[in-house]
Amino acid sequence: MLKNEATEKAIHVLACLSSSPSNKNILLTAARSASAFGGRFTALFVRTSRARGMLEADRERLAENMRLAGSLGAAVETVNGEDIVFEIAEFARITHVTDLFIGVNGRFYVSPGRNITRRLVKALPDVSVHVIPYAQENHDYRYSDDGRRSFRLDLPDVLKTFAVMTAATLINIAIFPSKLSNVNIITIYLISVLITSVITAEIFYGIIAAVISVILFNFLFIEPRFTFLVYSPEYIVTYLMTFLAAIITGTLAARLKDSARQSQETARKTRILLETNELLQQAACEDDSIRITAEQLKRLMDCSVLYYPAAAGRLGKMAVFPSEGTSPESLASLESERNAAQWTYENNQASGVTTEYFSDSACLYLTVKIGQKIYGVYGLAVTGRKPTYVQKNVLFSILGECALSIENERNIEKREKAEIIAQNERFRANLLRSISHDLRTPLTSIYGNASNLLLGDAQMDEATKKQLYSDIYDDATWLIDLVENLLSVTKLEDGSSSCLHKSAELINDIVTEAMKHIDRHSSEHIIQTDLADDFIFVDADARMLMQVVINLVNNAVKHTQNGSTIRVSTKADGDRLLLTVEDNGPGVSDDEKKHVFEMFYTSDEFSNDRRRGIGLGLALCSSIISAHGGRITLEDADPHGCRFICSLKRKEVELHE
Amino acid sequence: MSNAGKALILTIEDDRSVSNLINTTLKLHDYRYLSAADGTQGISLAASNQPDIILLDLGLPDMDGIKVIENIRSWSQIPIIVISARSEDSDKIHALDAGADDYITKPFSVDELLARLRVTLRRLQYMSTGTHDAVFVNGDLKIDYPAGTAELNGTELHLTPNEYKLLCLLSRNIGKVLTHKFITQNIWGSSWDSDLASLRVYMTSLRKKLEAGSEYTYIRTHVGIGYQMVKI
Repeated sequence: MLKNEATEKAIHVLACLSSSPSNKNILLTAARSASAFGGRFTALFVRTSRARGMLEADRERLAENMRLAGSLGAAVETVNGEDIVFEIAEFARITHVTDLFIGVNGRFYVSPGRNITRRLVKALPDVSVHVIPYAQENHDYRYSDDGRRSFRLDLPDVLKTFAVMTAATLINIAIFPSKLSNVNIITIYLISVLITSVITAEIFYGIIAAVISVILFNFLFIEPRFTFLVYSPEYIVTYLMTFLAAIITGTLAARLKDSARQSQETARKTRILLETNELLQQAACEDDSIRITAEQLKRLMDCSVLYYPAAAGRLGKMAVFPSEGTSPESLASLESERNAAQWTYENNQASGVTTEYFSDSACLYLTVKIGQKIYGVYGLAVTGRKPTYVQKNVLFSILGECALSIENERNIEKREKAEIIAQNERFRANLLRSISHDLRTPLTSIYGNASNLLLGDAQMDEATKKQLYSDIYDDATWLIDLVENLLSVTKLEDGSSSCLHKSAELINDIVTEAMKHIDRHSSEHIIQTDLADDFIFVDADARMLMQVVINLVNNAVKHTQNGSTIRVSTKADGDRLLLTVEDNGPGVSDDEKKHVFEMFYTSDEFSNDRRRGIGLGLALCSSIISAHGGRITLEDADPHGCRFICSLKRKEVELHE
Repeated sequence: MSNAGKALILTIEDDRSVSNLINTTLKLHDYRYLSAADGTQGISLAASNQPDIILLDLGLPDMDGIKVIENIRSWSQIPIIVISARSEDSDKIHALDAGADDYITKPFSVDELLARLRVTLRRLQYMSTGTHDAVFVNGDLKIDYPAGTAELNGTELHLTPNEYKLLCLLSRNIGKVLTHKFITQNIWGSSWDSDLASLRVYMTSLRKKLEAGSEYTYIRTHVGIGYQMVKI
């Protein structure tokens, strides 16, 4: 039935949603067509005002059908309107639908279903309309009758009706003696019927008011009074008119109220969705999106929320977002319902309380997904309270927003990763070039000095030999330092801090240990430490942070004259800690300050070491500190010299007593 | 170092130049020495000669160094000092948890190697003169286990229960590098991040108390690995 020229035209399959159990067949057939032709698939539900009267079971089924459509890869859309055919046709036209699947009730030979089909075919000449008859079923696909069945007397409305009728009767009794025409009396009753229709919720009260009006009018004011007899047939017409007026105004008022309620609901829904959307746009990472969504769900449903992230076919660690007045511990037991969540994930279908599957769970489990790709499962601890139709609708929209946001963030992350990999490639090439060049110098010296000692041992005096030994030692030390730094660089080079072995470390311990690894040239300098008195913890890789202190101190030793003072200090500063390395050497110009943290930057100025560095030390300090989420700055010391300040976030720890 | 002269050191190391360096150093400092180039030979030499200390390289050609430690520990308590070229702390921690006593990282200086040997020998000497004494003495530090008290230079140390527990754990394993995990599990029965933070705080305050009244450094920090009480 599908058109052949469809290959040129993008296939767009539209299936009409309903609350019928056999709507599933329509969805499945439509989904098969869509996937067979690689086309778009949309499922549409037209919400009429009558839909309000749907039985709870019907709503359930409708929601389930919607979920099914979603899991089949359809974009689920809802439009509001009274004329189903018109709405479907409009939607199909706007979205360039090529194939339309609709179900009709096959039980009635001359049913409105046939009429619908005919009108659709007429309205959409370019669209293949596929009509699928409903199977014989008990379910009657009608709303209003079902709605009426659920009607109950509402006390305030009864009282309102009673009050209006009493008021009308009292007024009439008051004006009756003035011999005004009976027309006035019946008009007052008519008005009271209208008022009743408007102020009550159901058309029923208007009709009751009409009946009471007619009876009272006849009984109290029509000759023979105080009987139910009527002499003049013209009154019969009046009574009929009264009834008609009641029914018409009642229907109109009910519809008006309906659309008011609907627009109010739509407004509320739009507001929540808009807010969710805005919040999600500000989300910086996936966890943010998940948290924001959880908060919105919590507000919407007024219950605690769980989240299981999905990864590689399994659900990860459960995260809890307790509602107000609930402790996170009390939610930990919900971990036992992991099976339900896992089932939801595997089958891409809702489970848990208020659904058919795992209905004895405390939570309702729903997936966060785009098409077939599932990002995670939310659990709502609704504890038996069924979400209303509107809530469910908003719920799914929020979940959809959440999925989009997560997908966005993952895409951004992917791009960033690719960028980092490219950067690393460049960095690695630079590093290799630089190292292979700089390694030659110390190796030449070690190689040469060692061979001199081996060959010419006898001719050399002790002082010369001592000098050669010491040169070999120095060069080897230099190489050891370089290797330490290179190891740190390789740890950091994948661009993430995942290679760091972070744990709660005392900053003073790190500084004290680092001071044991300072160059032996430092004996010519005065090195002071000034450590904070209190316990300052930092979440850090101890070795890497030691490397920072060592590099900063060695850098100071290298660039200041013998006898200079180098001061290392730690200090708490609010929720941060400051690690400062300060010298009273010549300092650096503002121009140079911009470059000191650059990789392979080496100063041309005075250096106390006979060998220039390869410009790795300070660059590494900067990388390490930023991998720990901190900042390193260089400023002038007072009166002269350099002051390097590393600012890191303190870690709050709970201690055993 | 009269004792050092008689001590027998077994070096299990496959790299010839490092092995040479160690042997030369040992010879120069009057130690007796043996060397093995792989794990199997090392284990058999250890069993037949009963050395005082074993220097073990973790990267051996025939078997993992950890396996060698496990094998030797199954029949002997000979102190093992691990020589590691691997930069990761986790290797050292594994070796220590498997039963090694101390470690030294390549590249190491000769002074460093000799210092480790001296510390270990002092500990051996101490162990042989009565490890199971009720009273522990190390430098100025004296712990009376049955009484549950510790004193420094004859003055009683005022320690919190946790500090005292730590001190006892370190003193009973004197000379051995104890990993963070080993310590936290022995003190609190768990090894969470918060336990580690607590350990650092108690260790700092314990060390302050020990160092305030004495010229010695009793507890050595091994960054990223653990702590060690040094035999003075």
